[in-house]
Amino acid sequence: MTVYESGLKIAHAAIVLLAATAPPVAAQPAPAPAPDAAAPRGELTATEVAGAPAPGEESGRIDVPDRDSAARRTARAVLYVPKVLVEIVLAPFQLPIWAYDRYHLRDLYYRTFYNEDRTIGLVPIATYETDFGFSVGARFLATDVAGENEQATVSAEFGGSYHQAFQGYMNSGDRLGDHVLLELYGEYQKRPRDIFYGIGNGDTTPRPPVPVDPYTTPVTLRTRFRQRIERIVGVINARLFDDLYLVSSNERGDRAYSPAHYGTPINEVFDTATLAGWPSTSYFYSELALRFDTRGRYNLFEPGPYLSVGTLAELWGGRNLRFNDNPDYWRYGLNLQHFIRLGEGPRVVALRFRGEGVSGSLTDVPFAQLPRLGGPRDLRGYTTDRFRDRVAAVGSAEYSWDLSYNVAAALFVDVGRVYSSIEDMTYHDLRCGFGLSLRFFSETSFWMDFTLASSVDGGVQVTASFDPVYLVRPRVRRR
Amino acid sequence: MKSSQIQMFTLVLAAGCASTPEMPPARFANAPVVERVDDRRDVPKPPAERPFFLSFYNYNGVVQRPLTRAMELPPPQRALGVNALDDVPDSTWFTNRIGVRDLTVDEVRTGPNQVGSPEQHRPWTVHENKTGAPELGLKITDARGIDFLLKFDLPAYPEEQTAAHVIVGKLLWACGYHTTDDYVVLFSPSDLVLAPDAARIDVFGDKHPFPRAELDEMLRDTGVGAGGRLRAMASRWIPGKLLGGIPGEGVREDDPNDRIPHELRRDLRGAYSVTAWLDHVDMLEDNFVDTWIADGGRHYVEHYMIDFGKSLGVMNTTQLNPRNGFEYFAPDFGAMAHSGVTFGIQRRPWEGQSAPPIIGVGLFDGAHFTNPDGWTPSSQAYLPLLFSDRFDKFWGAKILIRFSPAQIRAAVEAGRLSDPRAVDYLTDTLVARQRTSARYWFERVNPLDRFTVEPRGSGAALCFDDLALVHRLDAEAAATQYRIASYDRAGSPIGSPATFRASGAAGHSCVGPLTLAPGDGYTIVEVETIRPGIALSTLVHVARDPKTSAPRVIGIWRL
Repeated sequence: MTVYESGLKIAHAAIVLLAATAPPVAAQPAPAPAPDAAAPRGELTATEVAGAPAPGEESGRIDVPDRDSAARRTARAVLYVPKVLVEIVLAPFQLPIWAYDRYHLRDLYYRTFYNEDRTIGLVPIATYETDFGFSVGARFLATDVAGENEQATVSAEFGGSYHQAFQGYMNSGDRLGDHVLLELYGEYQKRPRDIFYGIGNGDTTPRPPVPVDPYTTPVTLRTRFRQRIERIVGVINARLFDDLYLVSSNERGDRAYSPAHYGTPINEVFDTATLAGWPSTSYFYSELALRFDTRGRYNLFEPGPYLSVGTLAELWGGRNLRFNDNPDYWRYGLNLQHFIRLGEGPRVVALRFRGEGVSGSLTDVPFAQLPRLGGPRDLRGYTTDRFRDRVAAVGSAEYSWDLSYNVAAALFVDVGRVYSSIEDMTYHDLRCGFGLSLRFFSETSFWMDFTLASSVDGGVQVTASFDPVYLVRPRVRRR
Repeated sequence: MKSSQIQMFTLVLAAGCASTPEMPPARFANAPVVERVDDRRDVPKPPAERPFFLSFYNYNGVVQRPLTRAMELPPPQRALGVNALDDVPDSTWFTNRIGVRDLTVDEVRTGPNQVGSPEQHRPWTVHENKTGAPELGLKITDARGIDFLLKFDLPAYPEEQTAAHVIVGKLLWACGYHTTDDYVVLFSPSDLVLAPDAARIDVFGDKHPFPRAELDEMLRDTGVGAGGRLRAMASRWIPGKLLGGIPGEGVREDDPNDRIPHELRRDLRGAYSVTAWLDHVDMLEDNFVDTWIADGGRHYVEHYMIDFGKSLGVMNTTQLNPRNGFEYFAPDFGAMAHSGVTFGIQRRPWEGQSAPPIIGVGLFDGAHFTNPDGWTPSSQAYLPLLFSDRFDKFWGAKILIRFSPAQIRAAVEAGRLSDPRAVDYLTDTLVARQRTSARYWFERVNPLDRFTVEPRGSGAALCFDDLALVHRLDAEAAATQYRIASYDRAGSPIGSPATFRASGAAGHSCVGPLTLAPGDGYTIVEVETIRPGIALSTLVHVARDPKTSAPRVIGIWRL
């Protein structure tokens, strides 16, 4: 939805030229021409006021009117040129805004890219993330496919973390009542610059003279690899009781890996022949999640997407069945979120924990599917996928407060690390990221999360995310 | 210290105390006060229609124009368009009503209405829809042939917008503003008959067929009221050729009668305290409209305030945003920065608002209206309110405080709210806010008004109303004194200052006798009101009437 709104602005700017040819129209119905109507009852008439002083002559003042001082007039003359410069500099902002209103660009956009009921349309997409850059694309969506709010989307995206990404999604809307929601998701992605730092929680190391086995040699260095993902995901969301959900997710996927043509290719640092899953892996993954979710807003006077009360507790586990005689393994995890509303606005303290692990040995699990930390959601302040191992755990504390109805700020601290096993979990060598987020939303839609983050290990991460950080629903789809 | 030294010290001290203060330059002609201006001079050609672009307007008003205006170094300036008594003369902008005379309850109830409700004149012919607002609007003609605009409530907030529109329209009219001829109407869908050429108009101005089924669907979406009837606000189409909104800055260049920059007009700047009282937050350029009318062979432009449906806290509920009235919506960078740097720790004035869950009542209360000077309209782009100073706000306050509870109730009843508790609540809240506003401004500007000079023995006394006492705003006559000092035209003291107790009944006092300057008697009388915590002054200019030689008030200058 954020993508949708922010995308609108981009689209509007893009069709200014198109709109410039549109004829001017009045925003309201034309007034009835009645130029001969009499003056309203009780009002003075022209005859009654004839001879009275003209406006500006009513004060009765006979003293010399105030005049600007010479200093003020001189300063005004001096500032004339900067004033004109300001107007020139701001003209590129002013003109599109004028065109937006003058030619009803928002409505023109809807008229051009949506059906009359606005249930079928085309939405531009744009994202930005440090280390990946900008991506742009478009999404076709239908929000009421068969009359029961069934949704379907098809999108294509290019740039940023993608070379190409094509995705399709549909759900059952209200077709099956409010206790069951079926979702189907498929995607084809070519990701040219995914990041691999090696395995473990280590600090960055010098580049080795020859490629090393990442499972045996503790080298930590940012490398890039290409990944092609083809998968289809089916999800059954069942609402058992008011706030208790059972979610079954099933995924059939194929992934292929190769060295990147960008940055430091993975094969220059790591011996890819030793990497589990390299050069490709096929699998079927089935997961069951039990979710207790009472999160929401405190009252209608606070934006819906701004969670301020409630708790999320989610326990999930799934089996990854690998094809071609590769070993299977389990995935499991825990999500906890709790929101403490401190005051109106709202002001909120949010606590979050996410833990994830896999069974089997490191070499049983494709390297790209190991639990990971770093990026705009988990362990912010670190590069995306900075850490990976068999177990990942991250806790987060955040204080957020409203700046206006549509904008909130958040200060956060994320603490966590990856481990080689649950038995090895310790409080030592924790990684810590921190930062500031600005979040934008409407009463019903989350628009954008703009985050500036750093960590105790240095570096600055800037992300513009269109998914709220507390979103859990598309977890399987995103992994 | 010797006695003579003490006397000398006392004299020097007294001389210092009595020395001439910094006398403002304002001097007035010895002439009757202007009560009306002629801005109805013939404008044979209609001025151009002004389009309104909301985003552009807000961008300019919030971002660009403040920057460029700062570089123009405008001096702080008191309002124009005032007469010698610091009041607004009648004009095409403003007609003095409750500010100068006692309106009857029925006058307030009737307000600007002239033709009577179309409810008694059905069926109504529907010509087209109105675009540009989320709520449904229809242009109709009643059985008499009078055109109205029907506006409906948002279905989630029944009665709120229609009631607020009519209530506030009547109160603003009684204050003196020109407002539209509006009625809350109840009717059934069958009362609406589509004209043969009825059209549904889209936002681009394109006309489409308007089948009955589509109209019925629109009506269903508005929500049906009690007894299966529909409720709407019928606003009589403003007569004349509509010219669009009124610019908030400068003048309408093609209207020769429009001679005072709007950001300097007292009637527009002084609307601040009135709109704050009514929480009329939607003060944008396009919620004013100019109309070019004919009057006895002349044509001129009249100025209206329109669209009050978001007043009385209704914008808070329809936008689900309790900040309206406390922060700008468009956006308020100051409030955002303040909240940002204080990490939201400081409690904001809009927090904790509440209103009873009664149909027709928005998020509107009196308890949070503690700082009438902190009230904000939805956008800072409307300059007259932004430029409004304490004298403007005082002017508005002395008008709004003249409403009696019965008059306010009459206006509220015109909103035809279905729940009697809504009438009680809105009346009580408006009375509470009215008194808060007046009390606040009467503590910031000397609340003396209606100055006259009356004979007293062989001399003359200066008489006036102390508005804080007249309206019993926490001020006690026993604790009030007036210190009088007189000066000649040049500002030199005449005689010695004297202090008087508030003596008259119901806040009306006379002090004197006055010592007038020789010649034409031009005398500046400084009247300082002294109450616990307050010492505020007004300069009253007095001179002898050349015809009768009787002294009279020719001007005042509030300090």
